[in-house]
Amino acid sequence: MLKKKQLDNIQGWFFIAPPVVVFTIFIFIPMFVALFISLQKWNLLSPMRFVGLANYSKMFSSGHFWNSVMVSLLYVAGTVPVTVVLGLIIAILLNQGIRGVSFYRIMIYLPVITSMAAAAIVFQYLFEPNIGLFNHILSLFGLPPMQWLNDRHQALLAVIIVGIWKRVGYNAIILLAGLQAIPRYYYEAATIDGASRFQMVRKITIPLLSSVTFFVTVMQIIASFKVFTSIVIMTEGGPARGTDVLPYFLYKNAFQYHKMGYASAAAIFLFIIIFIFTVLQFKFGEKKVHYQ
Amino acid sequence: MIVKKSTAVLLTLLIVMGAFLSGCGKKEEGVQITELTEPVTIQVWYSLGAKYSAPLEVIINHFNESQDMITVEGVYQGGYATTQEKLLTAYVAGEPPVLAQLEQSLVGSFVANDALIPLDTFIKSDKAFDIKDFNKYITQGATYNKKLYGLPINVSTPVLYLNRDLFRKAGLDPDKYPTTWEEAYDIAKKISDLGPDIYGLRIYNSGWIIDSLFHQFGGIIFDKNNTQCLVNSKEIKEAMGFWQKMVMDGVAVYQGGKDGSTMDASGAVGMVMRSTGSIAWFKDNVSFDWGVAPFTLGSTKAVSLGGGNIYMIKKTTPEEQFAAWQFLQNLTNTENQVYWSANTGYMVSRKSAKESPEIQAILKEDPRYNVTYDQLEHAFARPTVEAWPEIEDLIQEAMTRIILEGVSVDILDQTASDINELL
Repeated sequence: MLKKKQLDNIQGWFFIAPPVVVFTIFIFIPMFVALFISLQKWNLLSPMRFVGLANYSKMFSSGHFWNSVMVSLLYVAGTVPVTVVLGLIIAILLNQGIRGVSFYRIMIYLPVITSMAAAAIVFQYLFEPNIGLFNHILSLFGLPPMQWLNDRHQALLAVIIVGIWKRVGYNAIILLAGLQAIPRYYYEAATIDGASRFQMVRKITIPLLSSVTFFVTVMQIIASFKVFTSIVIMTEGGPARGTDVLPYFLYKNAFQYHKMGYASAAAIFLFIIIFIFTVLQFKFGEKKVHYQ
Repeated sequence: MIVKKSTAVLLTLLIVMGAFLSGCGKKEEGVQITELTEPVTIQVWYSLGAKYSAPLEVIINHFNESQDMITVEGVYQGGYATTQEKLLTAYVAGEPPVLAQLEQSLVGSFVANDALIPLDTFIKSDKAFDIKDFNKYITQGATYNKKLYGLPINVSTPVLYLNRDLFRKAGLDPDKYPTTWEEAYDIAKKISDLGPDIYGLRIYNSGWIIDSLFHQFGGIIFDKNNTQCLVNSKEIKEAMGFWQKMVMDGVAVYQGGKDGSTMDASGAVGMVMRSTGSIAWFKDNVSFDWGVAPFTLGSTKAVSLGGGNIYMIKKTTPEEQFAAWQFLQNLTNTENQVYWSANTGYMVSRKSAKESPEIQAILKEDPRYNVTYDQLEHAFARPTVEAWPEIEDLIQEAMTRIILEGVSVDILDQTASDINELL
């Protein structure tokens, strides 16, 4: 006869089994396999050959790899501040008692649940230089047309715009939840003291929201480093590697150039970057809670 | 506890790697069989979607109904590159389809790694099959090391599509198509003078188009043994420089992909080189008066062979291979080639199909179908270098920078040395 405690234990194992199994199969094992492959030379078709750290040294001396690192950093720098600040502004606006607020919330969140693949195709048409909507809008303001996806530098701007559009709603909703957790009486007290709206945002909202903002920022950095779908569909890393972000770089090396070892080395590099941010989130995210 | 944990991780890893590697083990390459004793189902993977898959499925259904031992399943796998990617994955996993359509330039890694079955033994033992009936310019595209590995399905060469309405508007005779690059420049100039959004020629950097361009200027991408890259030769620099000038002068537009097709359909482009198979596309999508002219504009008359062939894949059973040959033979027989060509605009590869009354009637009724056959004698096979996908990207990248950013053609020296590292 099993004791109740043992029974509980067994039950517990059953409860956590599904996520553990899924994580092991789809995350942990591939991670170790990638690490293993990154030390091999392998083109999928012929047998693997152990090459030690050759893939890494080749990678760090490759101009194309550093170009991808640079493009990824630019993409992160372009998307993160805007999505977080814009997300915060939208969250504050949505937190007001305006009429039809749930309608606005839905509209803001809609891009998040839209399929990126479908949206990217629509954006391709919007960015089209001759008949696209964006150039039409520019012309209404008397601005010269842009080349968008056809130009090496403007293409990155175009995918950044799509990245912002896609993620800002997610950040806004998380920040909104954070806003609603701030007790109302702080604001009431501030109102009695004669604080202005702006002062309340600066002195109450922003400090009390800092942990959520930190969380949103880290999540946004990670998501931006992992951008892939919009790149595949809109630019294929082009023109001339102008949007060749790291995930696309490694995908291309793996599945189009069949350099599995080299691509795995790049994957490990990307993994380390993301891992650092995850650790940062765990270490500092919890501590920054000011209220309660 | 920690030791236990890491042992567990290590064990899991070993098991997975073991399963993984055993999957890579080659199936015994069986002897050729001559008869099927029980029914077999085989797959053929193809990469032509939309209206091009319909006639293929008709041929497959017809074959399945004609006998009861073999069932063929046609599976559309996406574009050329996607099909190649998926085939590679399936091959590594040990479960490839026995037949797959591969684009001309994407076969290299499969040949280099011995993943394809040469068809010569099937051809020899099959008395009813006459390989001599196939056009030799076309079969050379599937021949490596003197062995034939595939049979043609959607063969094409690039031809020049003309917007005859724009020719007339520019005061040009639409029947006088360009025969040299200088003439092409003059015609394109006159058409582009019609307006700021009108271009005389649309160019883009598809591998087979730029390969044709290079050949036309007398350049080749690799030396004979594919050991050295020659993209920084005088000829290729001249070719790139010529296109650069056309774009800089505003007479040509550099636009590929979907946006390129959109431009063609919108009537903003005077001339564009596209596949023979695009005849069907033009018929469906274009409302202006259009014509087809040969794309042999250089001092060297040359066009690259495009489209794809169907290959037989290793790691499959002798039964599957036998069935695959039966189907392949049926797919490429005279009757089915005629049907496929009539519905797509792609070329027939058999002489008997070309001479059939149906094809002759089509050629007579619409001479635009003729152009590709006329220029076939100038066709050359694409290089089959294993690293081609990456090499193509490097060349395209250089081309984009030269043409769009006005960088000097001398950056091709760097491109050539980058490519040499891959050879």
